[in-house]
Amino acid sequence: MLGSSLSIIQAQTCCSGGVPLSSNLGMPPGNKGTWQFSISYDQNVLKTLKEGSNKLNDHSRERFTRSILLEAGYGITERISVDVFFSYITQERTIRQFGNTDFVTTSGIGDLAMLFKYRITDPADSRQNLLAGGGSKIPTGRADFTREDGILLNADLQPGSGAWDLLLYGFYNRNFGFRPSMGFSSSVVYSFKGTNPDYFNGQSYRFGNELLAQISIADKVKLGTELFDLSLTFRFRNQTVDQFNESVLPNTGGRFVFLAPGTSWFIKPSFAINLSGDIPLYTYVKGTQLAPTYRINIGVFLSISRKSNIRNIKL
Amino acid sequence: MIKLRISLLALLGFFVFACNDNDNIPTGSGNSGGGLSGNNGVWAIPQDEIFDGGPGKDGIPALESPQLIPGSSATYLRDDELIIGFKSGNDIRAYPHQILDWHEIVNDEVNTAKIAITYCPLTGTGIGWNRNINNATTTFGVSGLLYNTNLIPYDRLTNSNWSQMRLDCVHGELKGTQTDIFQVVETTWGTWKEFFPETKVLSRNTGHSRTYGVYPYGSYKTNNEFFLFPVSPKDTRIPAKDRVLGVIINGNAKIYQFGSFPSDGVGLVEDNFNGENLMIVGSDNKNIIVAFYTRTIDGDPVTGLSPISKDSEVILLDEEGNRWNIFGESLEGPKLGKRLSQPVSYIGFFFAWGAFYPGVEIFQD
Repeated sequence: MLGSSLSIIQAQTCCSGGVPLSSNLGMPPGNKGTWQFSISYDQNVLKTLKEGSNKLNDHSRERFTRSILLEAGYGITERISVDVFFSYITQERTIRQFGNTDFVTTSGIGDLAMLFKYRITDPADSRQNLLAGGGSKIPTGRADFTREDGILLNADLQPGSGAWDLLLYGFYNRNFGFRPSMGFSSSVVYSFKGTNPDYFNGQSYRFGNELLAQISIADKVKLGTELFDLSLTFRFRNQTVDQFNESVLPNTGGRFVFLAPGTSWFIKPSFAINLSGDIPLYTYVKGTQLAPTYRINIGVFLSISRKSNIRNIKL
Repeated sequence: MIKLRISLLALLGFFVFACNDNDNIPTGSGNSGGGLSGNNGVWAIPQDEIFDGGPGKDGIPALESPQLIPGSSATYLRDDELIIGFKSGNDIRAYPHQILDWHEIVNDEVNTAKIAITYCPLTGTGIGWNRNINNATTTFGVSGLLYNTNLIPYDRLTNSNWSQMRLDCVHGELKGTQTDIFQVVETTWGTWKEFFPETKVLSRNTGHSRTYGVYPYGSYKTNNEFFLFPVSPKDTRIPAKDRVLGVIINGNAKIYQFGSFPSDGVGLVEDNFNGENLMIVGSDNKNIIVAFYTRTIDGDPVTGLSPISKDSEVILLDEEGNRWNIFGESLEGPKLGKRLSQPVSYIGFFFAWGAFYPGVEIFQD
């Protein structure tokens, strides 16, 4: 996710709904000539006010980030592939207080990410894959949206970050020998955040660096004639503090652990519908911030190859 | 198989629909100023210097008719913590910064005074506003907007936006209206309870769940380089976060520093600013500065003043034998019951005075 998990707090800085880039980044390993496409709807909801790891009894504030995410991957060679990630982001902030509702929203194209991946393990080894990669997030999204009356909104409510980020990526998966349809995978994405040099009329803003590490276990099951992939993911996210003109912003940054169950329904071997969700198991925010409450993601996945590279699935 | 797929697709469709649970909300910003007619929708301050602070309108909830406790029961307060004090008749109240940091505005009624304690943690300014405007009583809320990193309250009767430090309405139906202020005193809890042991103080039972006592802005109030929002112009003659008393007369401001007053006892500075004779009374160790004109509210001159005390609310003695307290009330002497006239004054961080009053005059010893 981009952005901090703030804001805020309820003081004059704020939380970040966050664009779910990192947690969606990285297509499954693909072979040479294989195109992979994923389009999904992602809804990230923050309405839990926390101080440190303590939940505060306040339900006046909500942040929704609704995203349409399109990712395309292509296998250039058996070892090298590239993923490109597009997004359309809607940010919403709702305050319900004193019988009134204040609602602010922005919508627009988000930042674009590009990731090059290299398969370290033997491409012929179908039991395991180890990939390393790197890329960049390119500030294609607007970061200067205003309210209806022309007042500039803060970074947290913008679809784009206005900054170039450096992305580092690692991935490993392996099928279990005792049950080939079952396997585990883990991935790491680290985002070195760049600086938006034109925030608030020539000031600078830098979101905190983000580490996302996750480990999943998945198995394939049949329900009637339908094939499903069931997965359970533990996701750890660490975000350092944001900076405004080199000053560290209070009430930004934190550590989070999520449990993310998911399922893929294979309509065809190369086409699946995916559904997953994030449930926070542990949250520690710096200062007081609005923290993640839940997240859901639903989408479809399509793989097109010159020759079928969908592995045989033994059940 | 087709039936199963249709069923599952329908289920997924329902799920997507159900996920969109943020219904029953209006579109657009509730604080946009949309619908204002004529010139009222235009801000009286540069719009491109107004910023959304992040929490949104009422995201920082003002307090309404807050619960109070006796000062003797306020064990949550340390003696060196700052409070904003107000006195109307015999009703004396203290509003601690540690609660104001999280609410910024307290709508209260003290004796006959319908007051809003407005406090901006980012400029360090605490000002008592009269909630009676144009013969109507309103309450103020936090708009979530900032101008020169200073609080923009809005009044709930007309939804107009106000500038706290400018003391006027800058947007909406009441644009151009000046605020009437009640004189408040900012000092430490230790000084306040020594002067007014019968004081009441805000309870932490505010109806809101906040970590009172935890300052929400990190090193902000001590780090002179640390700003959360743009400020212009930046005046560097004095450290940015030094607390100073600013006096405003006819749109001009002059500031007075704690260092001009004794570190032990009470000191008096006589000054002339904008053609007005002023008495600035303060104490560095008591953490208090207040400003008076050399006359009563009804115009009687007051002369021969000298500071007299460091341990009670009575701080001035004049040549007629009147004893005046920190609110300018005569508690003893021929002018008993009279009150000294006061200029508009309040304490704030120096950088804020430099931004709102470019080139602000600085009192030199």
